[in-house]
Amino acid sequence: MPLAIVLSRAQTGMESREVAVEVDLAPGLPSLSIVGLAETAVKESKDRVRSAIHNAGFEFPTRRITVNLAPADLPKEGGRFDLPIAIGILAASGQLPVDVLSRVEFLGELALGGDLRGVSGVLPSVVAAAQKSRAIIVPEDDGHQAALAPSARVYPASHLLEVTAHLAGTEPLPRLVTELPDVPHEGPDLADVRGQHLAKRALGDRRRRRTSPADGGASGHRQDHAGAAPAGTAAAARRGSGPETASVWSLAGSGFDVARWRQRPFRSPHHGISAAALVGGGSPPKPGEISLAHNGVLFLDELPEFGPRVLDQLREPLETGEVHISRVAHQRRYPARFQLVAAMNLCRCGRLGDPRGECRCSPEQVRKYQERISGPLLDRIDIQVHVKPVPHASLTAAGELARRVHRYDSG
Amino acid sequence: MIAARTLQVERRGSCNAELGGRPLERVCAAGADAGRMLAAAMERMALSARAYHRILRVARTIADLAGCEGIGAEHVAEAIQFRALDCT
Repeated sequence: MPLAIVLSRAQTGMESREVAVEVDLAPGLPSLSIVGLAETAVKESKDRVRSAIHNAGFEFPTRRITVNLAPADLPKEGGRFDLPIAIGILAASGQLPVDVLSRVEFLGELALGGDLRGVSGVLPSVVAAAQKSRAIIVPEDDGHQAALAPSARVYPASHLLEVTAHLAGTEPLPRLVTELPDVPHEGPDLADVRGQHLAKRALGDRRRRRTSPADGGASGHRQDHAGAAPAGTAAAARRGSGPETASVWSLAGSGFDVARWRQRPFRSPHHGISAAALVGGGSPPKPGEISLAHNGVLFLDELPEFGPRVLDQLREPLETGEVHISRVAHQRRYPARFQLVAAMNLCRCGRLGDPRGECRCSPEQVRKYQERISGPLLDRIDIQVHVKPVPHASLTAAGELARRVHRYDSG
Repeated sequence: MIAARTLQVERRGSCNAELGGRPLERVCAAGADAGRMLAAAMERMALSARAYHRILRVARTIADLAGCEGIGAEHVAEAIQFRALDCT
């Protein structure tokens, strides 16, 4: 049969649309052309596919090969189409059965030797394939992510030959069965924060509300330390928000550690961050820090040191819980329901509000420093607390609030 | 803390922060004293409508934490003092 159709999925933001990879073998001079809005990495797949098929011991057909990625107007990027293209060529040239291809989807980048390499954004594709009640074959490297979509039929494979043996029925791949690990949180906790009772009350309060506290205070009193703690018990506060968060991480290419699936994300970008890195951007737009903090905490330490224009980008996402990034060629929507926690000094010298030291800043300087945070942004911050210096005696006493939390945790 | 959160999710299917519009007004209805205090604070601190709703949500949460059915003046008072930077 000179024509084969193999199913795969493209990645556009949080969506994963179906792509039919059509492979046609026609008489004529031997060639391989890929059409259907394929970007550079997809165009290059012809060389990877040719070598992988050869090195796996199959015959690369000496025909005029046309690969069409449909729908034609959907941009396709990355190495994820290597495997479906290779399977399509093998099926069209009669080296694989065609009848099973309509019930299974393929994703994966091929190494020249035929090994399968991981690709980004596997999880949204696995979820979409499960909705269509199709099985999906993914690179073994990404298999663990699929555990977050329990209803999906996922078959991880590490080599092209394993996939062909599975399709031919000679050696079926084992279906992925992963138990999600229940890993306790390791990291800063409110129990580690000494003193600062009002700040801890505010953090405890906010933790249930998912609003946005800012701590202001004299420097060196560890507003930052208190700010880093909320992720600690956040996981215990709500479970089951994993798959969407994991999808964003899967897209960002920064990898997703399945062992941490129950922990809420905690992101604390440096204040030199650009607007695009904070809310998302690039071409095509990738998720930014606010989306990576989805269902978790975004902690901005030294709030006035962030660029005012950068901070004001947070206004809409704080209201709507998502961010729409529009560029000429791409429009993306990413979830961004995060808890904003911020810390700042009240003035540049850091001594304003400290009864033991004298602030050297003029009132004008103080005003300028605080004005770096715009009124509308401040209006969206529900809980604002002045953090007082910690008396030496409290530095050695453990926090009462955290004990309360842990009591709930264990009971 | 976790009990308060469970209560919120049971009441409306979401935590207080995600309430908006009519559900917010129903769940976060303030008592007479609390309403008067909030009105006075709006006037004196020149608070926006957004701030008004946000204060109501915080007050609801404080009341949940204390295990109170309705929002009292003391809950609104604590919610208002959590907006320290607006006063300066």
